[in-house]
Amino acid sequence: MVGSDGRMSDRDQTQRAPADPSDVADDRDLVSRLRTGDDAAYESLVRTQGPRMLAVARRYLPQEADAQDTVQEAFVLVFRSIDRFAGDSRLSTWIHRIVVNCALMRIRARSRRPEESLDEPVLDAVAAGVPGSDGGEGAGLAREEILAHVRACLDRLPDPYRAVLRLRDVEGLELREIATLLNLGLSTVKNRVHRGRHALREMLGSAFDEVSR
Amino acid sequence: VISCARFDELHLQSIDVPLDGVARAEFDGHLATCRACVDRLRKYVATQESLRELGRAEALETPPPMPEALIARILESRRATRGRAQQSG
Repeated sequence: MVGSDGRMSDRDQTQRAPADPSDVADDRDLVSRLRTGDDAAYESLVRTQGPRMLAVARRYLPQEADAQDTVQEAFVLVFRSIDRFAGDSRLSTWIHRIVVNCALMRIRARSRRPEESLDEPVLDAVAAGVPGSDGGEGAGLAREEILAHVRACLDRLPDPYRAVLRLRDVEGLELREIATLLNLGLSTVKNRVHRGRHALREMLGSAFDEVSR
Repeated sequence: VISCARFDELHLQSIDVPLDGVARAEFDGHLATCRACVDRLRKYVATQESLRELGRAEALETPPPMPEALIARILESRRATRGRAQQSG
């Protein structure tokens, strides 16, 4: 099972920059308050980190109820594990990893369909049902609109494909890391990345032809 | 000369691992003769780049506030967890 205390490398651009010493000091202060069971510190953590956690969860789990339940589970883990936070990364980075791991565990837990059902026909059917794959929607979109279109199409991929594309291409993890996180073989991960990219390309349709020229 | 299906197999193999000499020659040879695969490959690479760009954009986004009902649920679940821990401890 995937550890919930941060084996995953975090690639969030905002968190990759060297930590500001004052932020690290703030983290230290907050963590020590959390460890004493300070209620105000817990509420502060939920209010400051919660919105970003929910945004991350929504990217992996487009159903709002799933995303909210995942954030709640992640906070329970944060509360339980705060004594194990080593302080060698930002607190926000550690929490980001926990949310992603919780989201992945949820995806794994409900992926009851056998591997064969995740074959090409499933992706073809998804791609065929998405506006834009017929070349009608999207010509001449602005960059922001194209990114919104990319996100919308990504959200429509079946969970296992969306998860690997998010981890590989959006977050920048190595294939081996993804295989470990999802408890899958390396070749399965590679196949899903490859097929997922092709399916996404079909879904993107003509909006994308404009930018890929 | 290799088929488009074989080209796609080689493309899959090449993810994160460079192709060896013979395979690389087959891959490049097919690209030199098949405009359809050139087009597919170009769009495939652009798709990857769009996902990377999405990651960069998402990292800069300011998330909307969290629903108050969810905040209340989380704080309540913490109180419940803490209560159970105190009872058992």
